[in-house]
Amino acid sequence: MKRFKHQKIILSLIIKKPLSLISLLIVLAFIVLGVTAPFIVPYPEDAWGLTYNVEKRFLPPSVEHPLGTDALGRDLFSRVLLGSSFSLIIAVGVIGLALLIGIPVGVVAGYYGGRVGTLLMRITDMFLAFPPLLLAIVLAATLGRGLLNLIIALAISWWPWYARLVYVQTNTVKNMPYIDAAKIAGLSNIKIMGKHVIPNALTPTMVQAALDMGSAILEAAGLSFIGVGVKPPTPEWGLLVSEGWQSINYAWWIAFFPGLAILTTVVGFNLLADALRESADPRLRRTILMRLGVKQ
Amino acid sequence: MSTPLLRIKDLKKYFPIKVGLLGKVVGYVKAVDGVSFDIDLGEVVSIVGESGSGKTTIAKCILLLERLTYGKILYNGEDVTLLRAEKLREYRRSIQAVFQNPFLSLDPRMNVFDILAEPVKINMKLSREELYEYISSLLNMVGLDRSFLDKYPHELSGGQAQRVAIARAISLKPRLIILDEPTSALDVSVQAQILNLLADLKNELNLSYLLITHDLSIVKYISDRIIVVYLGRIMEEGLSEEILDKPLHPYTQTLFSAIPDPYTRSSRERIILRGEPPSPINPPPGCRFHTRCPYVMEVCKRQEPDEIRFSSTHKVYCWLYVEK
Amino acid sequence: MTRQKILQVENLSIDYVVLDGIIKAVRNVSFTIDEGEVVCLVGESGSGKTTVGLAIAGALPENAVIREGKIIFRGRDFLSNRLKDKSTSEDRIMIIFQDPVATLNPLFRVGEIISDVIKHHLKITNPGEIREKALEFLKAVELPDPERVFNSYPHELSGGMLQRVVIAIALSINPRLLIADEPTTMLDVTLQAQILDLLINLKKKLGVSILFITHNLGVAAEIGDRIIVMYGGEIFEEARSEELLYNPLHPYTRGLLECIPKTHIKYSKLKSIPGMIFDLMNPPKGCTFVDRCTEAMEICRNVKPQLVEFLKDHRVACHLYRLEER
Repeated sequence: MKRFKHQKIILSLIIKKPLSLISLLIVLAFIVLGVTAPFIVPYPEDAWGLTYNVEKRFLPPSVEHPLGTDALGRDLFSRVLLGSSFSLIIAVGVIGLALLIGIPVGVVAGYYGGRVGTLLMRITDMFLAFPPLLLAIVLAATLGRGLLNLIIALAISWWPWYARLVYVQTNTVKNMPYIDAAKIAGLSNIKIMGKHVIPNALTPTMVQAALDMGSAILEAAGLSFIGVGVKPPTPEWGLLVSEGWQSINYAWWIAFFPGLAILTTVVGFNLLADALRESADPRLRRTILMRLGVKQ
Repeated sequence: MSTPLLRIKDLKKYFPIKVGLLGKVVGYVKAVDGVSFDIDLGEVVSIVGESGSGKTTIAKCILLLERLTYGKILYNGEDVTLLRAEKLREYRRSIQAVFQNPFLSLDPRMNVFDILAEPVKINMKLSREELYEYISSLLNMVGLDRSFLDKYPHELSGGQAQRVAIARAISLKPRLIILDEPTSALDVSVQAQILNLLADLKNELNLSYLLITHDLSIVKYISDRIIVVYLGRIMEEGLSEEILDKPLHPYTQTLFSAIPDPYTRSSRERIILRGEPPSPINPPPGCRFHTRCPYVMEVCKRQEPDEIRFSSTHKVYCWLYVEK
Repeated sequence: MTRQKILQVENLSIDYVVLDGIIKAVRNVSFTIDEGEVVCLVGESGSGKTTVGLAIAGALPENAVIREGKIIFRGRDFLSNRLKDKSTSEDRIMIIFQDPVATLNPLFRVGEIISDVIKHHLKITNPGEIREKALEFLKAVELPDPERVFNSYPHELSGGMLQRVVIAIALSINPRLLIADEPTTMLDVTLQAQILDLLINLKKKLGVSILFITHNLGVAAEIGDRIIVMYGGEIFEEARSEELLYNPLHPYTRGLLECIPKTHIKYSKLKSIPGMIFDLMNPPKGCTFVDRCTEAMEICRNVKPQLVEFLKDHRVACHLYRLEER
């Protein structure tokens, strides 16, 4: 009942603004394509990079190959389309893994506080001290190329942000009277965390996580572009851009279309994020000072 | 003389004030600073005081939500901080609580059935049908029916939500319920419904209550004894009639005169206190109330008054009455 | 008694548009406030009292819609004015809220906040003069050490002092009407008494009119010259304070008065009004109090009672009191 209401609010706010609606459509399209791409690509072997065809190199966009072909004569449309699956896997994998580490750290640190809490949060702060992208590059280079390593590298640079967020939320929730009520009822700490703290502390984090998917895709593409991401011939968008980069002068489409795919998806996610953030705080701040136009 | 249900002996609770990375302790907030009282079986005791008086901290200590800094809490003569295993569980079951704002004390993500089932499942062994029957009977006792079982807190009115919180408090058949401002978040017309319900339940289930409130106007409808606290210390204590008919301590008198009662607007002599309550970090020396007291004398600033007994039950801590 | 009317509210109706539908928060509310008068709007949650206050202050939230009505302040209907020019019409109306902490920006010292308001509204530019004015207002609200308060951040002050600061800021624009929305609800009783005392003094000294919004009839009786009782978005009864207390007509008002714990009478049981407020999205056709009323009649269910002046200066909306039977 409550969850249903929540969705209604989000939906209505999105639909009110056309830009938000477009962003929602982009994100939905991305998810649908990501799931179905392996089954619908016109040239599966080209898509997976299993073959090459020298005669068909550098063909410009045509009816047969809507986005043209690449340096090895493979259908670019198939490769970009399948790329959406990889981007989806990376986004879900990175965020999922980061949450898997971040949530327990944040909840335990926030709920118990004291020495345990301080220790856990200092460790978190150590990770936060590095610029995340730099940390991811170093990790990815150390672990070596590959899809799994890329996901691990990004997740490690990512989880501290969630740990912080969950920590702050847990701190708020643990002081709520219903937590005292649960203690009086005789629940153990583990049960209180599982039944009361986590469900109530997680909503903002989950929203944030869903919105971070765009950034995860962008960073993964960046790592692949500079050569520490996935291995060729995986049709990952960043890698596709990097492959097309060398021939940008005479075959612009090879770098352009994967780049456009990254741009569209990331902008879609970010616009959606903005719309959700706006909807999260629609209350008019009731301050006399605001009404007076005084600095706030 | 029989042992009281609960005896609080010289209870102190200091919260350390920590600064810096290493958490160096630079001082203490003396929230409760030496409070003693008894609660008998079937008795309703009210602790009255303003914010910062330490009344809520006393409740949290009794509920074992806070550790005591000093003093003892005796339950049927046994020190509760020494209770272990089954005895500790029995104590926890026997002392329940109802908080001020029902929308904060009920988990917003649980429906009424789950909220009420939670303590029952842990503490009693019941089959599914028995559990359902038991929870329905709890709802009946607080004046709600089965249709509320699958509602969530946000679908309830303030009065209904507080009834659910009361149902949860009585679910484990406790001996004592701590009522922490149980009506101050509710509308006036509903306030009385809840107070009356609490009074009925007390008689039906032979409960004791410890009512914690800042509102002297409601305590007389329910309490047998009143304890007035200020900055962590007891100022006056006595049977309800004694305190209501003849408030002795200047602070108690002030609290009474501050109650906005429409029908005594002109006849009543109002004492309006100047200034704010001092900080409990460095409570004033001598009598803690002397900085705001309209009758302050030299001795009040230097020395804390001893207990003055006006009857076997009525005690006051004030220099005004020392010579008598 | 021919005092100037400072505010006239006529047939004001306000809706809130929410996802599930439309909440009819205020319906057909009319009342007036005289120069230098304290009028109390009393009601429980859902009565619409705060919405009326916000509408007069021009501080309604975004999803509120003023369906119809007039708010005439010092002879000008500023609802129609506001559409043309947002900034000018409300200058001499000020509002203070329940929670002073939420009103003051924690990043600025009290002195900076109040100086800013003075600079803005009194068009004073000389810093020394601004400071003097600010201290004068802080002194006017009986703060013990205005200099120290001037240099403090909001978190360094207690709730009672903050509420005084907010009142000082409100006064600094020299308002003719002060709307106080439950300003003492979050304070302890001894501090509540102080603030009420302060407001009464300010009214006497500055002649400012006050619209005091509260759920507590006891507080209303302390401060109000006149009391308006609201229920479910409508006015049920209106009279001078003593008249309302000693001769309440509407069953709801009588019920409310019986609910208040009395200090001077001994009761074994406190009275209450059975039931709860109706669904504001679907108000009943007749009297909205009918389901909780002990004196409900057949007509109450079908016909909405009009607010009539049953006794002199005593208006009531109830079928028990019909003019022709007087």
